[in-house]
Amino acid sequence: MKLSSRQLSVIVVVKLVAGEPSEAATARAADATLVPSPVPAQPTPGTAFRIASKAFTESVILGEVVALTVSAAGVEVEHRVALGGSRLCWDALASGRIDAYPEYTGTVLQEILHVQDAADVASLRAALRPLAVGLGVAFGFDNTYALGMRRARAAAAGIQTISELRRHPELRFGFSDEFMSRRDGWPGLVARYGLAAKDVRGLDHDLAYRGLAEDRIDVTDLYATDAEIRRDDLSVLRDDLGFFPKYEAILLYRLDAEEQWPAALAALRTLEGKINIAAMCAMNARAKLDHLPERQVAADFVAQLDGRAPRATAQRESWTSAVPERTREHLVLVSLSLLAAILVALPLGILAARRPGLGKLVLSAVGVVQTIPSLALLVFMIPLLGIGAPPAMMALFLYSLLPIVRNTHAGLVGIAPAMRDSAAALGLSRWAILWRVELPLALGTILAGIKSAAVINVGTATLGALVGAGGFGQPIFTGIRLDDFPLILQGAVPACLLALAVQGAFDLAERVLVPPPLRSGRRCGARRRARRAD
Amino acid sequence: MITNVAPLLQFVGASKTFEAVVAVAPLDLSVAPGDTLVLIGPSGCGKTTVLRMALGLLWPDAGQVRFRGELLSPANVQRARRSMGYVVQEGGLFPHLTAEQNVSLMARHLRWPRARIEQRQAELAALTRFPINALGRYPFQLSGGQRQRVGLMRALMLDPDVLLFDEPLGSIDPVVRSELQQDLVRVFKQTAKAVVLVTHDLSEAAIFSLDHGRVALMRQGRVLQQGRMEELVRSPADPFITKFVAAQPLLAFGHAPEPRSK
Repeated sequence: MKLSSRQLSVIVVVKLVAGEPSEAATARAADATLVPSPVPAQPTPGTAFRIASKAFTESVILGEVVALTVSAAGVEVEHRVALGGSRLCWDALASGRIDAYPEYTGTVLQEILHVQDAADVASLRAALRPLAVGLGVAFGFDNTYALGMRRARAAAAGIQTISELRRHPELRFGFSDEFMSRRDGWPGLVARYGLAAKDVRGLDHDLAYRGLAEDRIDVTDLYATDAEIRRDDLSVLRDDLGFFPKYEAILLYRLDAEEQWPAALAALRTLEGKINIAAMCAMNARAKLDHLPERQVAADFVAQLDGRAPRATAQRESWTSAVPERTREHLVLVSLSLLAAILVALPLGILAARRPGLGKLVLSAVGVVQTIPSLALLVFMIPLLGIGAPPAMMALFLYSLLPIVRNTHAGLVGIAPAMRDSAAALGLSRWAILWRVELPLALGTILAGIKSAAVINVGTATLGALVGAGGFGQPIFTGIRLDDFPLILQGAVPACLLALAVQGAFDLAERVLVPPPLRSGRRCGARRRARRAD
Repeated sequence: MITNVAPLLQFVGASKTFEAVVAVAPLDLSVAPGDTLVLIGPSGCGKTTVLRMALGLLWPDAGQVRFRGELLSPANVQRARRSMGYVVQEGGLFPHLTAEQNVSLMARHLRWPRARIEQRQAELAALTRFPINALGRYPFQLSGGQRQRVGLMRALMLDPDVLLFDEPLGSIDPVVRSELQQDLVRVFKQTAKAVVLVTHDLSEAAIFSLDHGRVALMRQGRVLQQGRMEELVRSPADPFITKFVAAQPLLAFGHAPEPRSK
């Protein structure tokens, strides 16, 4: 399958939330006062032990292993699958929205503690203690970064080490966005090796392999446990200057979680050293190459650890059960946000039409909201509203305001002053004029605004899956992560159909609600002129 | 004819200026029940502004507008408007409502019982000779003359004391126009309401003032002469009146006005 530019842009989009927005990451790295924020001693009280995983397969598998282990210890557990990048997960942990997530020592060092020197697990643990975060359960493998090329391409260029890349500035580099922005990633690598590259772009880690295979890029970042290295016969370039730090897989958890669920933490400690690099590689391969659900891969592993035979295969959620649930989530996201937007935007539009000065202000304010990229808006909502449906609904609500306010305003100011005079001359009050004459005259335009808000919302709501809101975005993004095209369709097709259905519903509503002379495509003014012309 | 009945609508030195342009100079007018007053003059002479001030759609800069002896103000204007019927060119109908809904809008707003609304509509349809089976049509489905009749029905619905017409026949073709003129004259007689009618057409002014109505000729916001049509024609108070009268192919009384192309 070709890697289209559209797919690439989707991937970049995914990475923006799943990974680190690069500018934000750089800004944070530069701002020492932000780092590291002490954990407030106010965990959200909850009954379940809440785990998150980062948005890539290995982290999800580790998250599932952790979840299964905790659950086997008799503790209720919640797993926020593929919550986001390191920063998102760390912030969620620090603010008490989750209790634990799998992380890597190199990431803790560079991205969380912002320390340059190498440090062992013990000293990292000591550094995190004041932040009320525990570092424990070294799973037993080091998933360091590496650079990889197709074997044939590397051989043709005579490249075996990263130093040798210096001689080939013409190579096309495609890196995960997180790698691009991390100090232990591309920027550090450029500085250490003195690399000069012209063509560097950010894309999703999983699709970078496809880009390599299809000769769209020449070099990408790899993780040492990636299943694709063997599958795609890739050359791993030697880190001859020893730049990449160690990335031992460990678990970060809140220290107060240990007090609340001692059994969970005790069970998790039994995982110490149990996953070696070969085991992790094998699990990644089962999930990514054999398309087995991460939960099953993790369950088989846990079962085998316990010396039991693998359990009967857990089927991936079948589409017949998944689609109704996704539809429900999606409809809730869209309808609640749209309803709230109508309740707010309609009065705002009326106000804007009645007070031209204030109107300009209102219109430009909702216009500015519209210029914020949808993903950025979603990310802004996370600190305010946490994760799940609320931030997604808030973002959709804000996006819906502009079309409705603008159309309400346009519909009302477009009414001929003579209509208002006729209504006033009858002895109707201002409110009665609005209700009986102005709003009915503007209804077609207002409905058109609500319709476009609704249709746009159905599409935008797929991004809600990136902040854990579910909906049709869930299978789309999981499908991208697992390179599973049918799964992508399982989200994309219903989203498309829903948009069409919404459009149809509003067309129907127009037929029922708007009197014939005002329906779109039949303006009575035009009819009058035509009549006079005969 | 000016009667001894207390005036219904009265302008006492009322004036209006738009951005240094005098639309209406201090004006004194009074209309009693049963009166017909035709305001005539060239475009921009201020005659429409007079009507808008009567309705409280505009407020005079100086002087007063009184309705039933009471000073018209934002506090009482809504009630006053319900005692006035206002008809503009093409009827000023609401395009989203059918003829029937246009006519009954105010009555429905005031929560008249359905039967009363229907009865009143039937009366008015007969009075204005509007085909009752066309009541369900939207304005765009009606002819210009029919729209005007609906506008008249709407103005008459609440049985107002005063009818105000702004160029009511301005955009109607000559044949229908003459028919409507006769119908309006008949309605005025039958309903015996005070009428203020604005037009720039001398023959129309003559027809509407024929019985006992007065004509006020306006120019640049001032009333140049007020009285019976014959007085204006025979003894004009101002050279402009002579000119204005001469410019229009007038009417010997009793003759149908000649069709004019606009």
